[in-house]
Amino acid sequence: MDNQPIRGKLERILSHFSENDKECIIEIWEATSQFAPTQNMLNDRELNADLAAVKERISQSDKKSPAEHISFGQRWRWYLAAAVALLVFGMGFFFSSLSMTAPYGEIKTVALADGSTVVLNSGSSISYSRFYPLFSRTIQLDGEAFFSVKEGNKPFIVHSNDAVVKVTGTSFNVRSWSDQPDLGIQVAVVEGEVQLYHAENSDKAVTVQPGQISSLEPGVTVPAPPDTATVERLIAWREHKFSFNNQTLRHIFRELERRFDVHIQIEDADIAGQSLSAYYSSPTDVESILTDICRVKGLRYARTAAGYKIFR
Amino acid sequence: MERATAEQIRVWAARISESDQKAFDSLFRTYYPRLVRYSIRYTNSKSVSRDIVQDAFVILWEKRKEIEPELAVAGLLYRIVRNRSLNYIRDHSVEVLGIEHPDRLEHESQTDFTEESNSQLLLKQLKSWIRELPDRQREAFRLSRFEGLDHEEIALVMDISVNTVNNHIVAALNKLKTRYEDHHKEIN
Repeated sequence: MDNQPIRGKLERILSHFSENDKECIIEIWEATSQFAPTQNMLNDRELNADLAAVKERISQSDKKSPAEHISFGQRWRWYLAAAVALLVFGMGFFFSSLSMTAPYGEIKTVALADGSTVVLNSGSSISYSRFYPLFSRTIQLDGEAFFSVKEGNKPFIVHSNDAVVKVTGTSFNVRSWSDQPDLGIQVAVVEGEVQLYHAENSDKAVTVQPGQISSLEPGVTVPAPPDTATVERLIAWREHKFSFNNQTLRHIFRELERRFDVHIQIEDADIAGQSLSAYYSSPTDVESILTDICRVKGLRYARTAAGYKIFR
Repeated sequence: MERATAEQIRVWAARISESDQKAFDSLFRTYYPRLVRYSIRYTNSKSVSRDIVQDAFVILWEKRKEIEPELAVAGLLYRIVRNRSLNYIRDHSVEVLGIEHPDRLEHESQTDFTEESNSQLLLKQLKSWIRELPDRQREAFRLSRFEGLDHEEIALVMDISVNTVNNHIVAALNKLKTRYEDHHKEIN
């Protein structure tokens, strides 16, 4: 009785009514389905911020709980950690990773145990094994980050959505937003050289030299041939600057949302698809940038309860 | 907001019990907005409800090893959120002045009918009849129809048996039917 399929919910209820009443009950049942609230009280920014807050808390609690079990001395802890890590790596899994997120409106620098550093752009997050760099130097990235990698005998590997970036010691920028797949995945190199390949096509790697970029377009498993680019512009975000090279307004506004922690609503897809290049060396507030973009594109913007609205 | 299938939720729950954070993210994105909305009906405060629902997800993660495949995860989340929201009202009763109008927000958001046709008028009536149902019947009915939970999940939320859930909903429908028929007689 209790494990009736969900579809049987109405039938189960109807079995309590006479044939005459069934029609009326079905009518009420159907009508009340319209009362399921549809309005969304949270925007994407709030949802993402709250998810980040929860993940921060669970990573804190995950950090605490294993220590409680392993309280019998440093050496034991070490053996156990090594044993577990071996087991886990044998199965090809990443185990109990640590994660770091730069909240909207902030840029965050993470110092790794091997002396490498990662600068996270607003809204970006990385995760890595709690044993880093003991067994490997592997980082998972969602978003945009600038890596300065210390030379080491183990390769430094960034997994980001479908892309893999592999280096020994160098500095480079990776942009890979899981919520903007159409933007593709872009790698720009400042010094040293890096290898970029699709996670499922490691034979087709390209080598990117300093001053070059390469990218993985959505749905393509071979990276684009390296091309020279003004790499300084691409990493300008580290100094809180803005640089957009022929990008769609959709992506530009999304970046503004993350960097200024505001919500920007674009009225129609037609507006969102227009492209623009822009560079700001010292942006002070989001409204001055919106004013410029709207002037150039013949658009208008208005303040809303949640942030801004862009329209014609 | 996408409606995830019951099967999808079960897969996520199984993966969460194995500490899969991606599955946890997916479950969060599916249920967080609707749980916040559900909690606001009690607390009348978006920020309080966001805190309550975040707590619920942290608890879910901490207890992930205890998640059993048949367990209704959604029911568990609703249960935690419901109890914490009720605790909040209890502890802040001076500010909130009772739980008589937990549907105030929802009521306000429904006032944008420009032209009231008969069917819209009926929906409005139906809404007020639901408000007049006895507490437990109304809660079971709402969880079923407004939140889309199945009987098993509602049983977990309200801490009653599945049969009692069914009885509450049947009784609620019986009352609504009587009102509905009276209403029809008046019109015709």
